[in-house]
Amino acid sequence: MKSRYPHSPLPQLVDRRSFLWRLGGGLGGIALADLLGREGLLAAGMGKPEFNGGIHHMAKARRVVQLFMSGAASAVDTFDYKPLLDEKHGQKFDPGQKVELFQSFPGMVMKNPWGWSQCGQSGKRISNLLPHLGSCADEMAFVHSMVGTSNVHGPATYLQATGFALPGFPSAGSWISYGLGSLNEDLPTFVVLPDSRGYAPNGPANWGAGFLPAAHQGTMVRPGTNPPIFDLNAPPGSFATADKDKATLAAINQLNRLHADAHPGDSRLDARISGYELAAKLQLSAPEVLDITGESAETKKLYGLDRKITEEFGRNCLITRRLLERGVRFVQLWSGADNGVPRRNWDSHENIYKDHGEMGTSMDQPTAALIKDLKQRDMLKDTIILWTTEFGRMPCTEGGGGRDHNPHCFTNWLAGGGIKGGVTYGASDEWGYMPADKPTPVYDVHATILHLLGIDHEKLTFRHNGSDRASPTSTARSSRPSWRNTVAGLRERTPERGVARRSERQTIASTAVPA
Amino acid sequence: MRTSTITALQSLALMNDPFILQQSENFAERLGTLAKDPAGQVKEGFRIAFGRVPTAAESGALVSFVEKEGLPSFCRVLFNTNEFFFVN
Repeated sequence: MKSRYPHSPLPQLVDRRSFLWRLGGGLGGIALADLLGREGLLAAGMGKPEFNGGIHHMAKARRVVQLFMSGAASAVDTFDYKPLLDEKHGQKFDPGQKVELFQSFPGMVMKNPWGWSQCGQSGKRISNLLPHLGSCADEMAFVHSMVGTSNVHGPATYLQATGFALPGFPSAGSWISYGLGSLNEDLPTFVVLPDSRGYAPNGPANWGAGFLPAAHQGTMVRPGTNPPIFDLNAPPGSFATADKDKATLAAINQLNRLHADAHPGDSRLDARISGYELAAKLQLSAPEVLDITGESAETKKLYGLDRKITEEFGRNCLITRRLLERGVRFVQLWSGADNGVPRRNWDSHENIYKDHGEMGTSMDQPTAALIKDLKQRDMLKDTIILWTTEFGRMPCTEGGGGRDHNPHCFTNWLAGGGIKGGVTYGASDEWGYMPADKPTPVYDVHATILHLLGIDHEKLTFRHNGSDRASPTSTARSSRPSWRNTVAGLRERTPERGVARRSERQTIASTAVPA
Repeated sequence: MRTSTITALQSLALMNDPFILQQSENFAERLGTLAKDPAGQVKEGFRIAFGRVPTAAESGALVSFVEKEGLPSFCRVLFNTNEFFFVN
């Protein structure tokens, strides 16, 4: 075939990797250098420092699980023990200031209906709703002073998923996919397991790539449906038999590459080309990773697959472990769907006892199993688990037995990769209504996770609309110094921990921009 | 705000969804009435799907593809190309 660009030093058809490599520079180059280094393809003489997979400094973690409690899980019924609510139960809620709620007027103070138990060496009080997680208390680091910016589910869900309450920004998984690349080319870097009953507010935009290249959006897998990935294969009896796929994919690829050559600079074209490459690999890898029949009876029981209420979330947690084992970087796992009736998420406006009871029980044992199973496989040490929700719920009822939204203060917890277990960072006031110590925006949590992955979030940028957009926010660094306190409060201090020395930084910077 | 889905899942849907396969067969039937030889069928397929005729290189590769894999497979390829998918 004759080149359309006879003077170009590039051959007519190059694969995406050599294309990016030759272009050099930028984050794509850094991520690529990391990828090549990991695969042993980078010449040894180029002196790439070993950052344990990190790109700016030593990484403590390689993988992330984001457990998203959709609908807003109450902190004061789960992890944030407030003795004042027991004391004032049934009395008027009077925090000494005007209380404005989402859809109600403040009712009476309501205590956690399940009560509390002290757990683990740390003695952390955890709700009796969550006894299995109680047994993991010493692995978990709690942030009781999370602060949201919206009391509406959609924006607040975006805020936790992307760092912004507005749509259009990359989700945390997309940033990590973009920054660190894949650990297994046969599986997506970023996988999403939605609740089988429906999508959370915003739907698939919660795992969108925003302004990042489209290939970094999350890949949705629905293990409860048959087939778990729609259209994984053509239906039996059609002309599109499996033996035709290879030639068909080759022809599509050939036409797409010729077309991309004539339309440079459109990331969607590259994304679709890599989409077909991954699709072909998924046809082989997906059935294996999603098939849990080979797991031991003991493992299935650990995740609660023998009980109806824990079966679905348990299966998704078990599949999460299988995905992580095979090199998926980021798994976003949803507990809770849309606002259907009866409730099928954590949005317990009417009846905390019933609705948090069901959601809590369905989440508790499977989540604890994931922590324990990762630990026994020696994977917890480099896998970060983040438990989050869009906001908290009020210390008072809204008249009946439910609680209204509380965006002012709620709880996240983290466990695993580089996270110190059994600690609490920040505090809510005596009601669990407002932050009392170390108010923590989601920015700080995302920055902490990126830090543990060996990424300086202020340096992980993408050029878009004429500015370098930084993750997880484009706010100037001086306005958010608190993230360093969050890192200091949550990370595990071990002798081998350490930010890369200046000389190492310079080495990777020069490695990333090939001459 | 980007709302399109560009992942392996989209590729799988465009490759394997019964709707696409049925439309591929319908399109193949139409091409069969417009030209009798593979070269003419490839040319008509490009004209209808892309509004242009194929280059010599494209035609060469795809004529032998039609001979080996059949016209419906060729139409399935056309529906999966970026040129068909994106309008510039």
